Amino acid sequence: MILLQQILNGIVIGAMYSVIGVGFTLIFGIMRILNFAYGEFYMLASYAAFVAYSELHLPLGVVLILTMAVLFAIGVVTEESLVKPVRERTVDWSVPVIMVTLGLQIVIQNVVLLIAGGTYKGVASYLSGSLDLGWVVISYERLLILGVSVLLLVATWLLIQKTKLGLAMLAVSQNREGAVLSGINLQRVYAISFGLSAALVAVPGVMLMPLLYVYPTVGHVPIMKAFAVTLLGGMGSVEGAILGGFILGIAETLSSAYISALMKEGVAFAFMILILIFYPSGIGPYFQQVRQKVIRS
Amino acid sequence: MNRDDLLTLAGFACLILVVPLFVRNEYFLHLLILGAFFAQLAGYWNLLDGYLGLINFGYAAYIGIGAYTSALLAIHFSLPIPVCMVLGGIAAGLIGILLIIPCLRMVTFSTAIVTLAFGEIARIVATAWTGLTKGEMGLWGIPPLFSSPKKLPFYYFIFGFLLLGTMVLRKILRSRLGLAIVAIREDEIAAATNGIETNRMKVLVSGISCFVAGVAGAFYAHYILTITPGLFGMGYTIQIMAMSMFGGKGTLAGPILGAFALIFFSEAFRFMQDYRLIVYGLLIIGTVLAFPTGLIGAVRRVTGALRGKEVIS
Repeated sequence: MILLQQILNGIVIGAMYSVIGVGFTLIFGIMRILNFAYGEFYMLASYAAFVAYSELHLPLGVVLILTMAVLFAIGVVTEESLVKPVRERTVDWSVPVIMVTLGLQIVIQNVVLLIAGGTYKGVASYLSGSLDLGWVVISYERLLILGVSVLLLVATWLLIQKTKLGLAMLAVSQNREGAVLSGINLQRVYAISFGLSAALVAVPGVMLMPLLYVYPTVGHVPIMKAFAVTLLGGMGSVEGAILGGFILGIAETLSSAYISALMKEGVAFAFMILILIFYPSGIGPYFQQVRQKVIRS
Repeated sequence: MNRDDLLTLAGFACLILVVPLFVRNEYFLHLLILGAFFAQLAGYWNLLDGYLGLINFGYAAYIGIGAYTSALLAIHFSLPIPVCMVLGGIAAGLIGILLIIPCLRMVTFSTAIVTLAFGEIARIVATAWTGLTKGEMGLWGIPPLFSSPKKLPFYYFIFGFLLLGTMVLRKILRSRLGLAIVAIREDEIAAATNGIETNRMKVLVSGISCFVAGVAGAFYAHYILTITPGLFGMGYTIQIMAMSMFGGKGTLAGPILGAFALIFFSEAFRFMQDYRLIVYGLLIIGTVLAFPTGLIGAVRRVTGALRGKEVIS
């Protein structure tokens, strides 16, 4: 039964990793950039949630929506003010954008350190109590995390697949020139995707705050997860990121239960590299192939 | 090697020999040593990213591997230190080659993240394996490279290493191998159709680059005498990348210039105390925005403008 309990915990944390990964892989797929300040967006969301929830005593739902709105704005501003100039000046903007976002990471971390100090902050939990199913126990808080993430993943999925904006994003990710020729406003798609990515990572920032606490360098944790999930799922593949998040979550909880808690992240990364040796472009494209085969037959 | 090269070489050698005559300050010498240490690393990181087009985010891991291998060999087997340093470099080079082999099938960005993940794994292993590395406590009691408490021998050693490293780098880039490397960066498929064995080149260049990182790390261990798992961390890789970009990626002199410039800038900013890192971050952002081609690119553009020529950057 311990095994089942561990797998359940893995699924819950994996759902959050999926959200983190989807936000990260989205802008890679659309803009071909790695956003190294992604973890700092998470950290800002965590601080915002801490202030709104424990100082202003707003209800959790309001906190979530407010934080997402603020982070969306921060994302758009970052794109417009920092990433856009680099994109306009260089042909291959991947590495320069990495440097700019790295610089932004250092600046945000240290500004927050000046304002908030280096101490760990946090709230005990959003919800107390737990649901005992006899063979597994799940706290209401974890249930809430799972619910919110699944809701968010479905919403993102629908946004990309069913709306005009989502189709524009897909078009840009598949063929930039073709999308521009079809009358898609490239700059608008870029700005909105960057904002969306920041808004997505705001949710784990709020929801995981009681578990991870918040301090100026907390962004290191989510960005490492984002890298792992993105790579596991295939660079730029949203479906792959969702799947990768759950796999990473389960692999991590199992390795911390049966191998070593200290080595948990190392084991997860090693596992990831192992999978990549067999599926060099990640599991996302592989599963797409399988799905197409099933549809055809 | 033609006459001009020899003259440049002699010029630099003289400069290196002369500087300590005027600089008596041990702390300033320490900064120069760190500058040369980072210049070598930035130069060889640049060989991977700037010339070959292979991003390595786990470069600091090879510094760590070299440092720990050399230090542990020196402590437990009391081998002569230069031997330990070379063995540290070989260990780093071999691991670099082993890691690049699975990466050959992946796209560039996947390689970047796999190397980053490897760096994290290395750091976690070094932290968790307390029996061997003493974990976060740090490994201490490493025998020094030179028994003299003065910094001067270390200064001559690291600058000699930098000079040698840069000469080798220049030799590589001027050779057929160098042309092949740049061809792969520009268009891998075109390079392959012209008979360049792209995979073998990538493995070879990674091996060279990681070997140098290992030897540099070993020097660091026998110079600072205490090493912690932080040496494996992203922080050092970011610093090396920043230096390489700041000076000018894809050039020989750029990373060296960038390394010394950033070391001295971050020293000069010390009076700003808490604001120092903020300024450092802004400096990186500003450089990328203002000079996408780094200091070297900026210098070239200015000199080009003076000569009335249009310079394509």
